[in-house]
Amino acid sequence: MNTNEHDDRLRSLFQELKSQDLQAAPTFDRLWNAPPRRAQVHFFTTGLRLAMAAAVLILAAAPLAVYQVKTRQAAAEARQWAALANWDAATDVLLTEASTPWEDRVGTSFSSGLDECWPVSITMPENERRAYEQESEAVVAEPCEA
Amino acid sequence: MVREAQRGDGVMDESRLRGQLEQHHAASYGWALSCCAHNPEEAADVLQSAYLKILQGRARFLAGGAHLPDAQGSGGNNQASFKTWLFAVIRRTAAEARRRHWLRRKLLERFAHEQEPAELPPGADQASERGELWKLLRAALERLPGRQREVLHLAFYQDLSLAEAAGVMGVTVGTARTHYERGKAGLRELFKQSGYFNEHQ
Repeated sequence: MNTNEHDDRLRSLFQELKSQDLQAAPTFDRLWNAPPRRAQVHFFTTGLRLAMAAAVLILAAAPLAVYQVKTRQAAAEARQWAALANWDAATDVLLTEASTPWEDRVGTSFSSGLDECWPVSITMPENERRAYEQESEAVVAEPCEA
Repeated sequence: MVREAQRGDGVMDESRLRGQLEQHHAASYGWALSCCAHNPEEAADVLQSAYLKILQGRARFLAGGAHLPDAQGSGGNNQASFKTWLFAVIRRTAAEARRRHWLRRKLLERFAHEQEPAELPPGADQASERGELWKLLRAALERLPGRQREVLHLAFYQDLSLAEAAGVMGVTVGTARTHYERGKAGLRELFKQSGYFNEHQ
């Protein structure tokens, strides 16, 4: 089959298809006078776009809201831990006293009414202690009348 | 429909425009069918949208072909130029509709099976006896690439020249010729497979 015959056969087939198509074709007046269906399409597409925009907003806002809530919870927890770290028990002062040497806590000689005769001080200097002992030996012979 | 005539320099009034559109209505419907994969409802919608677009002045026909900078070979023939322009508007409107319905189509395809190209009806001789060779052609056209299908439709169905077809498709004449030759070869091969051309040689 040469090219022209092929083309002619194709053309006749296309004309057959054309006559079939035109049997079901709407009239010009029907399309011209019909209300546009695009409005429905626009309504559908507008609604769809709004729904998609809302979905996108929700998807974007949800992680933000979760982040906000988690941040607040973390801050509150940190405050609690900080308060716990700064807390002092009322008996802590006892621990402080126990670690102080006894001598430091009792720094003065107690007075028993015999201060002049029996001054007791373990912190008395050596020379004074000797002088005191010498005096005491002397006093032993004549005890204090007071 | 909104009844707004195109006004301004070099454009038609509404009555003339309506007359022209009515004159080309049958051919326009055939072209719209081809652009909409032979879906009659979609073709009617696309055609109505194209008419509306023209009436509202969103698509303007300027005498002399200024509206179609890439239209070639109209030779100053105003009728052919108007038809070429109208077909280009319909083609673009159909492409817009395809894009708009892309999501819906994809969703439908998910529920339906994967769309396979239509099989050629077996037994071309029986189809010929029943006078249904057009079904064979339609099935074969659906298996061709879009550009090849378009140029064959414009050349054989609409009797446009290759230059006019190129103007409608927005391509150069050389490109249109390439699609035309490849499309014819593809159709010939498909018809050979169905046994149609062998029997009629």
